[in-house]
Amino acid sequence: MDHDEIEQRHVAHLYLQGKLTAEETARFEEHYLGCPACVERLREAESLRRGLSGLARAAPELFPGAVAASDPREAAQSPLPFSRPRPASVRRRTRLPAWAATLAAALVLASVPSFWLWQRLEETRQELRRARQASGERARGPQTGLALAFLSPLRSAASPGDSAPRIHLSTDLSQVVLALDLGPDAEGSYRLSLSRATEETVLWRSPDLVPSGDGQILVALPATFVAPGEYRLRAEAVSETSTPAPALFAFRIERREALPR
Amino acid sequence: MIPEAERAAADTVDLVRRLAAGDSRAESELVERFSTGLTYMLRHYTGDAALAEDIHQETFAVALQRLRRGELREPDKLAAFLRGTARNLLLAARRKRGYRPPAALGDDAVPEPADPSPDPLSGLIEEEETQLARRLLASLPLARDREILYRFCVAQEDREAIRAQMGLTPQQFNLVLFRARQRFHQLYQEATATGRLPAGGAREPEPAK
Repeated sequence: MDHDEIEQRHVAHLYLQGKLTAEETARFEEHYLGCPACVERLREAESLRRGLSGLARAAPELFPGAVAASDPREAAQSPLPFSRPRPASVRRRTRLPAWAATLAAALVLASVPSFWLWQRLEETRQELRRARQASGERARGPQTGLALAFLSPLRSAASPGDSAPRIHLSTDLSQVVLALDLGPDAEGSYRLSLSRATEETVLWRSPDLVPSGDGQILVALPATFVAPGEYRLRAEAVSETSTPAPALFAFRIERREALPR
Repeated sequence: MIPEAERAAADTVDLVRRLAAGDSRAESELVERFSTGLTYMLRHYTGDAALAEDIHQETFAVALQRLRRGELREPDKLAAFLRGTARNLLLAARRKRGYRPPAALGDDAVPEPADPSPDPLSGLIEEEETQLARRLLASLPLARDREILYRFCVAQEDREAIRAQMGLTPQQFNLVLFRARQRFHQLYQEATATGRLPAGGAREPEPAK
């Protein structure tokens, strides 16, 4: 699927409305997986949709000619703005008899209060669960539930075995803070990469980081980010003139209990 | 195939070859290239930022293992491979949580996206974007633009019905809708780039105090 087709057929909007076929959905998703511009277009389409809904509620006079939404959820939220009488020659393929449409509308309106309340309750529950999980990012006051470990560089690349600092995770911990000691001679900036001790796959890479005055870099990992096991943090100095050997740090995560979701 | 698509396909094949050869920089490229889209897709289906992030990480972990073993027989299908991996992991995660799968996430089914309930931080950003979109829509000079956007994007009315009622031919309908989207897109891009809203246009009523 190319951009011409996506634009001309309004594919992003149809995707958000769930109106693409399975094959079209697959082709579009395979396209936007590698296309940040299309992801941005999708986000913009979402904003557009939300903006339109909100504006139609606040200022229905700005939408002359628009008719009531066909989606019951939107009908519950959107106004019934000005509608133009439909020409007699226009027949929608899915038009219901008038009495059936009236009955359906009455049933929808009758179910709106309980449906709305249920939806609000579910949204609140989900929000509470998320707030518990990710408190590190959204805390507005002092934070607790942190594990702190001071790490020194390994003397050799060989596995430190049992001597790797151990960090015990429990369900009330939200973050693991690692203080990497690069030494007082550390200067410039460093890039960190995190991987499991037994694998080369990089789980996370940092942007360029500058050590503190005493040569330390602090990294805060969400507790949900690391499963039990041994890890390596590699700190490579960013230098245009030389390639100093990277510093390696090791730590072990133990006893991570399943977190409530 | 158009030249740009040919170049993209060649880049993909080369990336897969380098991954199979153990090139660590290729691993970074893979993540950089597909992370944004994968995150979006997973959030679209889960509505759960934490779950989406978990599956995002698992997807790359699983995919990299398989790519390093040379298991992708058709290198040009890298995106499809990542998509399939993510969907399988999502299905497994949902089963583990006791969710009823929204029809199996196989290629012959159209999965039901989650009702998006953003986490508080994302919710704030979303609310800001929504407010911006509202103000931009109010500033569109043509009421017809708002009407067609509302009826197509929000009310999801039948395209034929919209077209007939607005007195447009099929070609005119596509053009009017396309231009309405483009006008909004330009306003949106300018506003997000400059931080300023366009002058003039219809005014939205002030919120009640």
